[in-house]
Amino acid sequence: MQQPPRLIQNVFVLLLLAVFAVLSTFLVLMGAQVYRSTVERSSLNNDSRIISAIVRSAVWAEDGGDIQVQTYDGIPVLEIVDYFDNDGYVHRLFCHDDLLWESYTSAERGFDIESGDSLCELSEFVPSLDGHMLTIHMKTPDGEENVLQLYLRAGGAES
Amino acid sequence: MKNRSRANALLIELLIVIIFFMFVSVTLVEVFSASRTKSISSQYISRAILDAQNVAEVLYGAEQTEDALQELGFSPDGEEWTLNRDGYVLSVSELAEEQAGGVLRTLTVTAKEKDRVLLTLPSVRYLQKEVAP
Repeated sequence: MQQPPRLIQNVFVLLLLAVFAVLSTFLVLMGAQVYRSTVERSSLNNDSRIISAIVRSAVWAEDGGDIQVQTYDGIPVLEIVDYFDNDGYVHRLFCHDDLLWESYTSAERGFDIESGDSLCELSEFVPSLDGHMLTIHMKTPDGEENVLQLYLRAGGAES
Repeated sequence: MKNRSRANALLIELLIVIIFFMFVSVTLVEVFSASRTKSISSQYISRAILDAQNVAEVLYGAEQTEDALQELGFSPDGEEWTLNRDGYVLSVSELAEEQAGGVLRTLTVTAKEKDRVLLTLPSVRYLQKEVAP
């Protein structure tokens, strides 16, 4: 009885191994791609929601005060002025060096970047006031643009 | 003969391994696909939340709801106003309750992804009537 050539059998085994290797590599690469895109999307979502929450809570916490939009050295700043015992205190939100900064100082002290604390990454923060409507254009370092709109209920709206 | 049977055994073993691998990979592909869908859905939810909050704020401050909705890009759809966005639909419904001193206006902003409600945000404002001197 003739035996089938060993060569064909060996090639077939090698082919099966190669198919297994290719498929498993493909599966790992697909998994890595899915993981990377999920993490990226989740990071974008978190950034936009965190920044929105920070700005909203800052404005709502002191909506009874004066909310102003000022520019210092070309940096647009959202100022929330509040008064305690006839002393004025200014809460400022601004963007500098691709970061969102906040500072809380006495009204007598002028704007000073060094007195602020960085909160999160942000490349653009442009507030504007139109009557009682506060609009803030923001852009994350990833390029995602968001617009935040707040209607100032109790506070004085001054631009 | 022994060599031949060893080679056959190896072949069968490889085939069994590949069959198991195929079952596992089918499951994994389903998981990857579900994960991607969920990730995209959560992105839409985040955008819808921000959008709905902005719409609620604008409508709160608007004197004329219909004008404000038209400016925002909404179009009338029966008793609601709707706006199609990428991945979700925003709709606004209004309820006005006449009271002695004014009108209690409740605007409900709803975000839907196909038939699934993502979020509902009410915007309530009391509009006082002008008092006669």
